[in-house]
Amino acid sequence: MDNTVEIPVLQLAKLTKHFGDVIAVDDVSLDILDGEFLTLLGPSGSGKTTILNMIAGFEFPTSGDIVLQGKSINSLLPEKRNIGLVFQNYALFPHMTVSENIAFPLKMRKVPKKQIIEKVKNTLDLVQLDGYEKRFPKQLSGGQQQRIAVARALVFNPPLLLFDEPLGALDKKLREHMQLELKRIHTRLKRTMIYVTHDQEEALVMSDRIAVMNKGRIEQIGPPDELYEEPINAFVASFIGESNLFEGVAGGRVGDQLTVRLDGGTEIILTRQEKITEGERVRFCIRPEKLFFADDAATRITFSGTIVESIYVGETKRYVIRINDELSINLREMSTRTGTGMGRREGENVRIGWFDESVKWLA
Amino acid sequence: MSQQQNGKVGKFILGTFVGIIFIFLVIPTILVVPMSFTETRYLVFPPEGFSLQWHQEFFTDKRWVEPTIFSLKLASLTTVVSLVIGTMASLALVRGIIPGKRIGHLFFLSPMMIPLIVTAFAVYGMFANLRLIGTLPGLVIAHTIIGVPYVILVIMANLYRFDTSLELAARNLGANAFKTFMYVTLPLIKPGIIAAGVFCFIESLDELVLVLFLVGTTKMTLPLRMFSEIEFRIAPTVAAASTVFIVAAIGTIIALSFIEKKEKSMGLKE
Repeated sequence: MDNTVEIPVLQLAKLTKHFGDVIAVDDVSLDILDGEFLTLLGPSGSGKTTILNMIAGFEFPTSGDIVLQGKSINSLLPEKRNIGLVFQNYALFPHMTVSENIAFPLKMRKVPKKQIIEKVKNTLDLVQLDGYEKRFPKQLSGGQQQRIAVARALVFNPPLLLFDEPLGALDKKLREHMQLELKRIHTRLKRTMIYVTHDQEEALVMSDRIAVMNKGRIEQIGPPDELYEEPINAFVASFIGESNLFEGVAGGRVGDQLTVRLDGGTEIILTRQEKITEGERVRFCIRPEKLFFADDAATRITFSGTIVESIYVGETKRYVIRINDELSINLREMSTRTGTGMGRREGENVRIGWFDESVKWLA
Repeated sequence: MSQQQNGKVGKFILGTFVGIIFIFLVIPTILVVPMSFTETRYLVFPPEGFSLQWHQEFFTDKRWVEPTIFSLKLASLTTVVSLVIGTMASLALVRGIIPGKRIGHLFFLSPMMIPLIVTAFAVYGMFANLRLIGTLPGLVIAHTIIGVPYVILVIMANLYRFDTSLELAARNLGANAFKTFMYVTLPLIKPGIIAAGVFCFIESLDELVLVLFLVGTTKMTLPLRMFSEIEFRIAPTVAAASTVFIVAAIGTIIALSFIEKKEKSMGLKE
């Protein structure tokens, strides 16, 4: 619909950071579009926080460039960058009231007093904490402190907002609430946001795009559904959601069928793939919820096995099914049609099946 | 049941022990107060009669007023100089990216470990050459030598507990390094600065060894006046001076606890 070429708000070009011998960030290139909510997702030590610190100006890149709105900000001091940042521990000034905290960036920018009062009020409205002006941060709950930190990062209208695992300290209920709250603020203000987290669920809920990071590199970048449905490698497949990972050697083709000999020795018959040649090492995955019990259906591809574990987790029931000594498979079934004491039991013999398109080939 | 009894016995022993310490440490100090109101011309206990003449002498006699003012001047200047040097040194030792931080730390604390008499002797030799003996600047410098370690100990502890993300947050929000220090770091280490300042002030007000070496012939500090009074005439004015000291000390403690209370209400302290 929109024909204008989108100019990225922020560009990372071949960004690299070494700490001594450790390569924290390794040749990362990334464009963040205007109004986008992008999440850097990865385990601790994957380099996501280092990238954030370099964008904020707390760390200087070993090589590469950071370009904000068309201008390189590599050599700018943090206070000259005009980027909002919400810290992991909020970093609210304990000796200042809520309104003094929010007014701080405006005061540093020498905004007239009258405007400061108005902007503080509007921003407090936005995070739904009007009436708390005179309180000190320690007198607020974790969730309220979080909102104040967001307000303080928003109030000076930065073109880019950074979030460094800001919900980590909150309990699950509050975290889910704050996720939606941040999402609401993002939708309303259409501000570009970069969000760092190790929580894949959080990333899926909030992001327009997710960059999955591992060992200082971006493994895959894309919208949440794409990452979940089409992971390109085993790391992404296992970091986002759960996966049954299979590794083996491709065997011969018979008609439109392809036999794969798994590393444990089990043979599995899949639909033929044009790209795969005989003798090639292959990896693929199937999500546990894409498997189903196939005792009545005439599904072509099936496994027989025994349920060795059956765990009830509310909306789903998880099963571990032992196929043979080398191979166990995870299966997840919605609780839609089960009730108390229903579902399958441990020790039961079952046949499981899947559809062709559920098999995802990995690099 | 026997455990409960053990607890009681333990409490009794602890109570007695604390009581004995209290008697030996605090009572002699408190006894000075009634002794200052005696009518006699010499110190006695118990005091005889009631008179304010010794207090009056302390507040009016030039022999007492001048050393008191001089001591207050000396202590105030020492406090300011020690706080400035000590705070800057602490920042460098905690935050600075400089080589030899550990050695620097030990260097600044060394006056605390070296016997005062040695410092006094060493400073005396140097000050004689520099013609600083008997001058206010000379005494301020000497007292700063022993004041700075107190400041460094307190402020460094403050800085180590300091959440550095607050300083990063200030920078991120548009404050340069200087403004970050003025608006964030300084207010947050203020309790430490006040405590260190009180230490320095009392240390200087109370100090006698360095003064004996460096005071020369023209100046007189309050502790030195008291010391020479006791040597020569044991007049109750010494007790009156001590009483004023005690009252000032109690006043300071009350003032500090008020500050602490205020900070607690702001949620700055747990």
